[in-house]
Amino acid sequence: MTNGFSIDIKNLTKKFGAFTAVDDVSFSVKKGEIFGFLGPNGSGKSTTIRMLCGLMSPTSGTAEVAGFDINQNPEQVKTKIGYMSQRFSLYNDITVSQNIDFWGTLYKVSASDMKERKETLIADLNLEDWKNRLTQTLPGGIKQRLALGCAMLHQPEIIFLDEPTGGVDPVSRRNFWSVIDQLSASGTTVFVTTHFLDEAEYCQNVGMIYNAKLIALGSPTALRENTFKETSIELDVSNPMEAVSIIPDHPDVAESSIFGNLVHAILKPGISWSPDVETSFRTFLENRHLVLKSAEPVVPSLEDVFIHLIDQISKGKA
Amino acid sequence: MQTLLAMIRKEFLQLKEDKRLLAISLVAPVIMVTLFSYAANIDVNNIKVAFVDPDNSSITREIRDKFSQSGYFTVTEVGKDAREADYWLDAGKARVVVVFPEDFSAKIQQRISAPVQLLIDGADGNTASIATAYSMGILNTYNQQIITEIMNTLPVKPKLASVSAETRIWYNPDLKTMNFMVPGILCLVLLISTMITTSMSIVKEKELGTLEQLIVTPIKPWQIIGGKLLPFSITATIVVILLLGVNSVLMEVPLRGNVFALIFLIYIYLITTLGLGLFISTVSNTQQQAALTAIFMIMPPMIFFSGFIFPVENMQMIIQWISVIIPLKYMLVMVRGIFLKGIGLELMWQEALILFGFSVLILWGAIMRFSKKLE
Repeated sequence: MTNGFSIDIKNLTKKFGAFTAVDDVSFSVKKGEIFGFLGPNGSGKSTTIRMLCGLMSPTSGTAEVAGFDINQNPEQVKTKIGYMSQRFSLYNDITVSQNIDFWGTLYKVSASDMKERKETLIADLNLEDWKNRLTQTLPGGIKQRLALGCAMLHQPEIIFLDEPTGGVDPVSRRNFWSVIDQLSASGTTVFVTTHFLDEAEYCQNVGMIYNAKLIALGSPTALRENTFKETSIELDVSNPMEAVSIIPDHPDVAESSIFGNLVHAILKPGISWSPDVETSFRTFLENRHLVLKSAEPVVPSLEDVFIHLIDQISKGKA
Repeated sequence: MQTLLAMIRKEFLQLKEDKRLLAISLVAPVIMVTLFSYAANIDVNNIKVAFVDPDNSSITREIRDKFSQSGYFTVTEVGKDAREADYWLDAGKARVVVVFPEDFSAKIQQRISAPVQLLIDGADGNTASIATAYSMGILNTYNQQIITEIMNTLPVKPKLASVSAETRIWYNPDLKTMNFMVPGILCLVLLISTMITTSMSIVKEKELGTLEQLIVTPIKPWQIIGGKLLPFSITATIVVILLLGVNSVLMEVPLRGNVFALIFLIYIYLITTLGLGLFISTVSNTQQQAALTAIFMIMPPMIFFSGFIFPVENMQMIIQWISVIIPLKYMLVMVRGIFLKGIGLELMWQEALILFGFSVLILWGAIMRFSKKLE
């Protein structure tokens, strides 16, 4: 670890013929951090992760993963990392126990360590009754936890998770993230890609990738604050359809939009939400025979951030 | 070593669960050899023969009997009108029609040469030429009989010299096609079962994504390759033993040479077939692609240019040149040599060396193409 970073990426680029899948991406991930790599399908997330795992050679640029250069020592990198790909990729046609033994042997886990870790894994996942059954008979959520367990048998410094929660039910997703939290707490660096932007809230830092380029980097809070300088408020009004056309006349409002049965309003720069402002809204609406039931500022989600950034990029192009 | 053993163990565990692959690798070869051996029979017997015999004399009836008693012919029709012959041939009621003229027996009795017309269905050239030869043989024997009868009536017997051929057919005295085909089919079935199963097994892991999971571990490429090739060479060994067993019970093709020399050659050959399987897996992303590559790119030249069906010496010069690079060609010469001629490697070391050279080349090429990277 030359500089305290677990992953240090410099100008990483991957081209497939004329198509650029990853374009000059640079960033670093600190040891023990949960780093979320966000972006829509086809934006270059998986290609980046595959290069970091030594599965693909970059066209140019490099990265240091767990202290090893991915171009010069890809096989060394592989001893230090765990990787779980998008698809469940344990062997379905052998038993749970056989899968654990197989992956443990491939990661050169000693027989004594293996025995203990296997028992822990089976106990953690409550698989005592399932261990001699074919892996394909496991429910989806458990399978995925088992795949993570198998990728962690050699206790890697970094675990790469490529879309780990794709096709998994919400309860299993939440459980999965609590496991990821535990891993991070025990000092493992977690590099996770997802296109569920709500999941990014679990991450300490996120990178957003769009059309092969890194468009944002930072903690979820910092990203929100840097992207939206203006305050958004959510209003519950008696007649939202009428209200949405009237509210922009209020002196503090920059724009408004309908949001289900509610109205969202973005205040003009420099104006923040206060009881005084709320009173002025109430009076403003009452004068126009509308009743304000409630009003409160809303925190923009990372999805709002992402969509805002993409909008700016496409406006910049146009 | 641990890693290699884990790979081999995993492969067998999977094979145990994958009934289809298990059937392809163990049962199908045995069924294929058995069926092929009986179907791939170009021996000619039971040729349908018909007679146009307006004469219908004791002489023509005797000739007809000689046809039916020869063991090669079955008499299907006897008629009086030559026009019927066209219909019999068109409708497939006869492959050979013998047409006697009306004055046939009269001419023979007057000791005048009597013509007989032979109409042969030549669509299948091989059968036609054999049928012609058999018919000619029967008529020649009858000629001999006439001459002997005439000579016996002479008061003074003239001295005649003639060449008498004493034929001994070596290696396959009964000229059974099966004896020629079975050793070849054995090689072909081994090619299919090992090449296809190996390529399928690797490509299946590509499709399922498990190959990606494998190559992200510190496993070495040779351990992946060994872990795939060794299990299939073990199943191939079982197949060879089964096939030799089936042969000794059903087909009874004599194995005159040394069994160990045969097995030694089979192992060299297996390096080729497994290497081809590995090679196919490096150029295919789906099991369909792998199967199609095997069926359309590898199998046809192996079958048609190797001498498996058509002797290489009969081929156009350009095809003979192509056949030089067909590994099966060398294997066929050697396997037939061991089975039928009972000869050993001392007479076939050149073929063995060439085959070995191909094996190493193909396997080396496949290993070079196999990489621990996704692209």
